[in-house]
Amino acid sequence: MPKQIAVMPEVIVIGVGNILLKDEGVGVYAAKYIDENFLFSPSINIIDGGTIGYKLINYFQGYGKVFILDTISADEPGSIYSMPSKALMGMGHYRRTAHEVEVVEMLEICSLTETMAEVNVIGIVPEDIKSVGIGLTDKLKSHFDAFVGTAINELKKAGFKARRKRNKRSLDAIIRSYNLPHVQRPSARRKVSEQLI
Amino acid sequence: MSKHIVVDPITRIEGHLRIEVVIDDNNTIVDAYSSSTMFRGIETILQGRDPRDCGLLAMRVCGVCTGTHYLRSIETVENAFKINIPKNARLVRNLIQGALTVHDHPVHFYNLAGLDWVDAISALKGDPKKAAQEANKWAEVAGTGTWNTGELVYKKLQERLTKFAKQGRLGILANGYWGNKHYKLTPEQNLIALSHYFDVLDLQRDAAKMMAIFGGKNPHPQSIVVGGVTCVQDIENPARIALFKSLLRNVRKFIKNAYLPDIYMAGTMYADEGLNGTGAGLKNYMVYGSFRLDDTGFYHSKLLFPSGIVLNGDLTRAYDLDQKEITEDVTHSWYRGDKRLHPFEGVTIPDYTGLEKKSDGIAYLKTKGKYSWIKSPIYGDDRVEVGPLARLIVGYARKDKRIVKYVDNFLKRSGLPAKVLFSSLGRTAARAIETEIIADVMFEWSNQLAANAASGDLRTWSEFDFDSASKDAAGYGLEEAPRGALGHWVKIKDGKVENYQMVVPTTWNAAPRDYKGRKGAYESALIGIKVADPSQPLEILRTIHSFDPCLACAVHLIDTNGKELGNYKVNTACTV
Repeated sequence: MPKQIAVMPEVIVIGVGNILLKDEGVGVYAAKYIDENFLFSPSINIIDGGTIGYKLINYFQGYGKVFILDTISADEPGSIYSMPSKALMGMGHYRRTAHEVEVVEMLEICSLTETMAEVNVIGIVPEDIKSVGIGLTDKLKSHFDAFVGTAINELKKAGFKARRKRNKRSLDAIIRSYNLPHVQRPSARRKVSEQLI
Repeated sequence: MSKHIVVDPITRIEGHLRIEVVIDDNNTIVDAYSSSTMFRGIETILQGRDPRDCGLLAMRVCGVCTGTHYLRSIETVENAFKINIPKNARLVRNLIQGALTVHDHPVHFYNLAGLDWVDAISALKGDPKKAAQEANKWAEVAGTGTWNTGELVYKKLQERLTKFAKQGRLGILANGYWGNKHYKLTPEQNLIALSHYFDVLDLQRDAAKMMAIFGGKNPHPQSIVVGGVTCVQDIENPARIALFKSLLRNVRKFIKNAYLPDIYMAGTMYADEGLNGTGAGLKNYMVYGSFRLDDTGFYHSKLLFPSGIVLNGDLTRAYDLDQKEITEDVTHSWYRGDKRLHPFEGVTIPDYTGLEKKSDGIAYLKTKGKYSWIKSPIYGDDRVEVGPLARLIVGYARKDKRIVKYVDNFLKRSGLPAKVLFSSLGRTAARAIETEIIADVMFEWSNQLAANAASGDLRTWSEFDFDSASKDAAGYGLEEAPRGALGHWVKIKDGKVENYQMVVPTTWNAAPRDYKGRKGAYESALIGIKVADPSQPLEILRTIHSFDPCLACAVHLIDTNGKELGNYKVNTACTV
């Protein structure tokens, strides 16, 4: 059947947020969690976008479909929303304020180009994004599985098969890896070989 | 009767940036207050960590400036450890930082600030044929080629935008102050600039690729380490450097054939604003200096943008910079403390005193007391501006050959006197001129890197003894981020970070008044500006945006502004 032969649009999942401000980092953790715990067929690009700002253009223009995992201001903490980009259009206030360009503003700018990806935002309402600290509040931890589940369901709806990897990596382990990052130390061996050259 | 205009009331998440101005009966701004939030508490995150890893967390404070913060943190620790890096590492870092700049500045001019100068709706009325002629005219003024030749590109753009508008896809066209009488470009000129607005979306991808060649993983670079860089393979491989240069060639072509001609065009059409000093502000400039041109070592090497201070717009005199003269004052900031402190001694104890009681539905800032989350940095006893304009002004006052050549070329070709630089227009032009300088000089650095590798020098890392270096050390990393002077300070004890402070460019520019009641750079720049229509703060945005405010050092949640999203709520009973 022709439908099955159709080329899937290239897909990317981007976790967005500031990991230094508690629940603000939930999108980043969720992307990492999905990357570490699931296998997709066909495969999917999953990245840690951090506080990516206007570099989002690269993904909005370079992919067919973009899933953004982010925090969103709505009703009560823990509520999850999944919406197409058109639901967010018109909310950007970059013309009325002087603040930085973010997800919504970037959607509005890119919407007038020919090569705009289909963008889906999966957002969760945070509880604490004011305290400085790497980690999630208990409230968000208790909704984390549902947040990840929503993202997985959206990917399934988009035609991807998802299955869990055998070795589970827990949310706590993911957060720990962000809390204790290490820069690769140049190895002495590499140095010797360079000197030899 | 004076009236208040408030741009961006502080929101639930403390707002990103709020500007409150007072206008008189002639709609002229007579007073201005800048209030913003800024990431604070980096010290609590970094205390007790291995100083070699600080960059990975420091870069998380800001998405736009990730690479800059990462680099700054690494060099701060190198300064504390007294390490000098190999030539290859210096050149690679210059190329990464250069790529960052040629990415950020065009995007800023077109996508973030362009529509303060360009009326997008008027562009739809422009005659494509005339626009093509007009584009050639400005390319000629700039002494370059034309980026978009022929009328077809303009015609197609108009058709596309008209089609999208009919479909209800308004995007950037939806919000704006279109038709405001302080827009001064002709419909054809607006059309030219708008076509570049869309071209830059594609173009910036090449600049992002350039960053990734030596920086590794985008958006979070990881190839820079304390002591040097790790991308040996990329230096060894001539194809990587060749790829870098071919991307740079295209980016530079856009800078020369689109960005600069547009700046000449805007410079001519908005010359009155430039000449009467609209948005000039403090006229005190500070530059930490950036892009080392030799391997003498940090703070000893000759720099592409020399460090220094210029006061009162006096282009004949530049003072040497001494980082010990930097202090932060919290008189009008929501922190406790009554002494100005050097960043090494910096403390951050929040003391939020709130806003005035609401009147007419708006809670105004308590401008007599504390009114911002930004501290007021002071150099010596002066308030100063930082950024591209500061870099050119200080370089010009220092009679730096390269900077004088590029600035004089701009003044000559535009037929404008040097005083035009002291304005929001000048700030905008300075950003473009500096982009051209960096794009040109990056070819020199690429060639030096290739030649150095070809000569057999593949050293990318300086060895150091971590245990002895990190016993008791203190250092600072002072450089120029695209937006201006960026400083990190660190104290290290027994291998761990004891204290860490950052003072970012926007802190200098967006700061509130200080202990003497003197205005910050934004506040000062807004005074005297005439607003055409008080319900449209176009002129306020034009001046504030000319500083390229970066307040992303904060939260990034999608603010729905109370829009109803009930239809999209997910029933969270679902399982994986």
